[in-house]
Amino acid sequence: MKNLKNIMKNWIISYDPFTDRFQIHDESVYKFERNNFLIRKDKDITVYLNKKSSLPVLFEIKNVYDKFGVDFDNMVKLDIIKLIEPILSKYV
Amino acid sequence: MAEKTAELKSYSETIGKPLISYMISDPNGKSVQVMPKNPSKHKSGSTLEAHPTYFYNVGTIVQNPDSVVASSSKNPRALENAKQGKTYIYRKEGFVKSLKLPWIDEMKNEQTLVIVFYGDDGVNFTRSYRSEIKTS
Repeated sequence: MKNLKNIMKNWIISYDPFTDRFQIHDESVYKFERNNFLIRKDKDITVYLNKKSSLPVLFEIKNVYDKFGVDFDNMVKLDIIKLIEPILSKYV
Repeated sequence: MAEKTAELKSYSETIGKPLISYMISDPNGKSVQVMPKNPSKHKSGSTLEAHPTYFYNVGTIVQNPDSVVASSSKNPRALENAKQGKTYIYRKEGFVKSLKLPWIDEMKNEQTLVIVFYGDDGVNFTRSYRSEIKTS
């Protein structure tokens, strides 16, 4: 998906070093029950896709430090997006 | 013994209050200081998490959580902290909805996490807190 970086730019992010779990998602995820999303799960990655549009609305990455070797808490949003986009694009 | 059901403070009771740390008791009766998030150290923090109604109720999650797990993070900052004490993650589902904030109509799939540090020196405090989507 070519526009994944642009899509994620306006999403909400959350991370802390003690859970080491990162989420980036569209605000709409809060408005619908989970059965409205197509959910893809890998070992440490979860992806929610809108069932109607097939567009992604959420990415979750567990064990971030093991995967990327950097502390997301010390990074700005756009740098995080650049780092994760190549991996996440495989899921959409 | 800590109270079982923590009482939520209302929007009107908390609006406009400066964010000043306060003490609560965890389910084991240990005192925990609830600290405001430092915006310069928490880049991912949202405006909701900086709201006084959110802040002055986040302690109720430590008093009455849905679950508690020990941190197993490999993040260097977490490992550094582990040398001086233990860190636990307190989780509560539907916390934001329960605050009845006037601008939030719907809030599905939400859980709030409160990170509590129990120092070997007996000083216990919240390291962080955040709302996120419940995915499992």
